[in-house]
Amino acid sequence: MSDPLIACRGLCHTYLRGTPMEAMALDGVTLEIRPGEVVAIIGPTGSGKSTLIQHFNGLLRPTAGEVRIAGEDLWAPRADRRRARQQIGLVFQFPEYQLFEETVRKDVAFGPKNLGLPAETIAARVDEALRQVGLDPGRFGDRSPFTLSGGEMRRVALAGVLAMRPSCLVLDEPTAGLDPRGKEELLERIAALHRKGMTLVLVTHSMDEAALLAGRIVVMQAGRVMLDGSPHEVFAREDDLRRIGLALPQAARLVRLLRGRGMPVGDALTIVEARQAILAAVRGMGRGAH
Amino acid sequence: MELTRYITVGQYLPRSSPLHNLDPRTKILATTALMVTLFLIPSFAGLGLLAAGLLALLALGQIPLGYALRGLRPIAVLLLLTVFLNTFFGGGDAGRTLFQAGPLVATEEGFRRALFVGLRFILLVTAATLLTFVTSPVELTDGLEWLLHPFRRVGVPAHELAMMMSIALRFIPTLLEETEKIMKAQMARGAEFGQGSILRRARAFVPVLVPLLISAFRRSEELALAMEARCYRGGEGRTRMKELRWRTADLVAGACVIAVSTVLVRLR
Repeated sequence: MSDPLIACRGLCHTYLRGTPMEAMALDGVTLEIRPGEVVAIIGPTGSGKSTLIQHFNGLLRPTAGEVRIAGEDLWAPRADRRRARQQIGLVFQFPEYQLFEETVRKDVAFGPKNLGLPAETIAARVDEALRQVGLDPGRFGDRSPFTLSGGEMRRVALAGVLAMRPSCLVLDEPTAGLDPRGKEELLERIAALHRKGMTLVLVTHSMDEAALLAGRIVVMQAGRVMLDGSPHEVFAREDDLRRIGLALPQAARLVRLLRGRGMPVGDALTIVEARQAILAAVRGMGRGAH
Repeated sequence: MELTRYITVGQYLPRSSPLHNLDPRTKILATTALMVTLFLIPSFAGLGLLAAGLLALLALGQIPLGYALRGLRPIAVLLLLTVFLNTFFGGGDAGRTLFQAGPLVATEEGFRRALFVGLRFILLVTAATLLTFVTSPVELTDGLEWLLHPFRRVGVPAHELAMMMSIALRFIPTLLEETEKIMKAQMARGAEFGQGSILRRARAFVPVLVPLLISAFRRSEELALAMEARCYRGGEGRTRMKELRWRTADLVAGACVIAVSTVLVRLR
């Protein structure tokens, strides 16, 4: 097995330590993300998801425990955290609010520029990143990011991180606030990145998105990892999930409902799986009637 | 990186202490009285006693001392500058010369004044922070509005001023949080803050300031809309959910402040 790209061991984080508002957000998280994986992190609000991912590129300093990126301890005395920030591309929630430049091209170039790359390389990367998110550099490159639609702005912000050529993309609620088409388009772009070898970590409140994209699901609760496994393993624990305020994907709920009404449907987590399971069940019932 | 850790001005700490329970008007008036007293106190002894008094009040309000002192950090530069200027220029020619650095002469009198002014400055800020620690923004506004009310006849928009102030106070932590978030997002794109020459450092903040300003405008528009949606139309005819009421405790607190101020101002 290959080395983990991100490895946290006993990771703890306390906000505002030493003040009256002290709050523990992470309480001993041990977690590994391997190259090529798609991991969804789910959990109720305040369970520590966003704090956790800010440790993946050294934006926060652990109160206790360690974080290793490709084997290197992020907080060792001579650690190169800038390199970690290039390798692990972090896209915050509502990333369109961080756009600031006059043109789309300049904004996307911000990251590569900070890496100290030569101008031609930057230009090439900017165009490549814009295409990756489905924006034509010729059409959008010279426009002001503030004249774009919300979905387009979000894709520009995503391009701004992709232009740094990270090997892993960490996205915090990437589809929050987008309309259904915007959501679908963005998810398709993200899936395409994975097909080209990008490791993905996805923080989401949508069980459907987690079931659709992820090969592994990590459930956070009160600063700890509560469950960690394949979507089928995690969503088999319906009672545990319900207890902390989470639910099953819609497709899983549908097949359960049908089963409750006496239809012999197999398990399903996504719409496509549900369709197959229901069709198979209908065919089976048809044969039984003859 | 936690900005809220360092900037405590305007921060309210919800507790249920005798100080929290006082009428906001009492607290505003008492703080103002103490601040005026600070400028009238002639001796180190007076300042020392006032410092002791403030420490007692912090304890009474259940504010951890370390947390209160943290509020002084952002003004440290200003404080040092004040002390520096007073040491070299505050004493005039009077007093024994302590040491000399080129044309700069530090006199004993100057140094004494520098300490005095520095201490006064620290106490001033601590008193102001104490007020916001133990008074919620809503209470502050209500108190201020009541106190400004008599000046309405001469055209002072009491309600509007109080509302503006409370909104400003309310947004300090929000904007700090926002700043932190944007800084982190830009750091994730390889930005570095606090490195290089002053010009470089200043430039590094453009990617933070532009989104911050945009978001502040967006927030203010949303807030205005939310207020209008709840039929806000200024102070005319507006009633309160919580009426301000003087209690015995306010009387006692007021008397204490007056007594203490009178003594301190005369203490040589």
